[in-house]
Amino acid sequence: MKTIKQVLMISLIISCFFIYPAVVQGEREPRRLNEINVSDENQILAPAQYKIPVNGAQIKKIVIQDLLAEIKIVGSQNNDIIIDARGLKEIPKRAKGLTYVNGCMDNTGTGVAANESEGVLTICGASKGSDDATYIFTVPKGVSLSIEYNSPFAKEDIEIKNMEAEVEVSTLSTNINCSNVTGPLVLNSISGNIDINVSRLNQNSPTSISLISGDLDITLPATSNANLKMNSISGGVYTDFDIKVDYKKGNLKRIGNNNIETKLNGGGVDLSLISTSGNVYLRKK
Amino acid sequence: MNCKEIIELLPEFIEKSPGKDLPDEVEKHLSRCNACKDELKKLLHIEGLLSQVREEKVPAKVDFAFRIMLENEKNTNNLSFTNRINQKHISLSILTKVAAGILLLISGGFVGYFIHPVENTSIEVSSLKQEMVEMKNLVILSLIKQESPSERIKAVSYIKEISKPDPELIEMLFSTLNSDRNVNVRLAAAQALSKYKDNREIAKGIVKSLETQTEPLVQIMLINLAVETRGDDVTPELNKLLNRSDLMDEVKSFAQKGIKTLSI
Repeated sequence: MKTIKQVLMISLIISCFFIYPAVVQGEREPRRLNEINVSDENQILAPAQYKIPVNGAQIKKIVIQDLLAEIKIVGSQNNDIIIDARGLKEIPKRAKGLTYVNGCMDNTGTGVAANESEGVLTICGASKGSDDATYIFTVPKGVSLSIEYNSPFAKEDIEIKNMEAEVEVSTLSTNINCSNVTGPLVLNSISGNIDINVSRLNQNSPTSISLISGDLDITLPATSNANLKMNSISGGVYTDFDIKVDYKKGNLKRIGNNNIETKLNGGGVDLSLISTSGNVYLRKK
Repeated sequence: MNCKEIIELLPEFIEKSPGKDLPDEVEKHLSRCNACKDELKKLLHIEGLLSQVREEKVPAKVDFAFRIMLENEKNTNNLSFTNRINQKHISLSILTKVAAGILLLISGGFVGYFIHPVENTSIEVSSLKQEMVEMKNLVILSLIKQESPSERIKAVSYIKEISKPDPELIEMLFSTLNSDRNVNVRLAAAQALSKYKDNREIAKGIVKSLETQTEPLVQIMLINLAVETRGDDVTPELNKLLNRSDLMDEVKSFAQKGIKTLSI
């Protein structure tokens, strides 16, 4: 009797192993069929969604790199990390059955790879078709975010919403829009513009935003505390905050520098706003 | 003259006129007193040894950090103690007396401290302050290794609060300026260093950094800073920069403006 029970148990476990991949396969089946029916090259696929099978609470940081698509990040209350790909292009007809090679293997079915290691989730573009797509990443709002967008071929804007942790973005000519964020923000761009709406300025760690020729437009709550440093070498600095700046006699023996250091509402966290040739706009709300 | 007086006089005679004859009175005493003769021999031996000691040359490759320290010291203390002594021709014997007086005062202070330790808190406070500085250095050096760029900016901004930073911290600022992977952190390091641009070694380091800097934003900041130092080395360095093929147009225009500003 006992041996029969054991044999039954073992066979049950083994059958589970066989059934599982079949189920996963079944889930992907409709898309596969869809792909085979497509006759034109590079057709746009139906929107694809993928939920990362790790608990978002275990992830401390998300790094997005080598993804030249339009990127939107939305912070949420939940612990799930969801990738939503729209306008993803189909792989060429001739490439059917082959894998796109760039060292970043699509393991999500959305044209990107997502790999977790020691609490850091790295997402990279894994398909040529992903460059023209729009990605909406829904992530827990307390996770740190780092986006490397330093490519001359990256053109779309980056949009970040509702995040309550560190946001690090670096671009060449791409605009960065942040709304309802707390920081710390560490943003830089060569010729893109940066627009930020801060809900409540994080006081633990400094915020630093630097541009060369773009405009920097930032709105803070009127009661924000900060040690403010605004700097523009050949552009201008504008604000509706009540800032007292001592007039210092200009020094002709330098290239030109509009360097303002002051305290907002008695001082607080370091806030550095630099645009070397663009303008800096600091607004209160 | 007794033995005690003679022994006291001997070092002065040897120092003032080595090789010359001693006064008759002393000579007479020495011929009689073996103990004093021994003393003279010993002193002559020491003098001989001392004259053999040659001044050690500082190696050409003196540590960068040390030179910064030296420069700092020079700036704050242009007239050093020994310089002033030399100027006023105070003889060495007075100096030793003063030194002994000071030593007595300090040792008196220590005795007082041990007898009434509660009353003398200033020493404790200063040692606590020293400990605070050391702690702060440790905090800064560990923060700069953080994964988060905002934390690294925090580390750099802590240094600005220290009035005279350790050479180790200055070196850390330079390596952050030249190699941190985030532009904003590099910029923060450049701004922290700008506070010490009156220090010649640091100003030179800032100008030198232009050669290796790859980030256009930091290049522009450094050009601006270098021009403000107004050193002789700035124009050649800016010309070198202009010859680089990978230079962004924006940076180029700042470098040209810089050269123009320097020619005013």
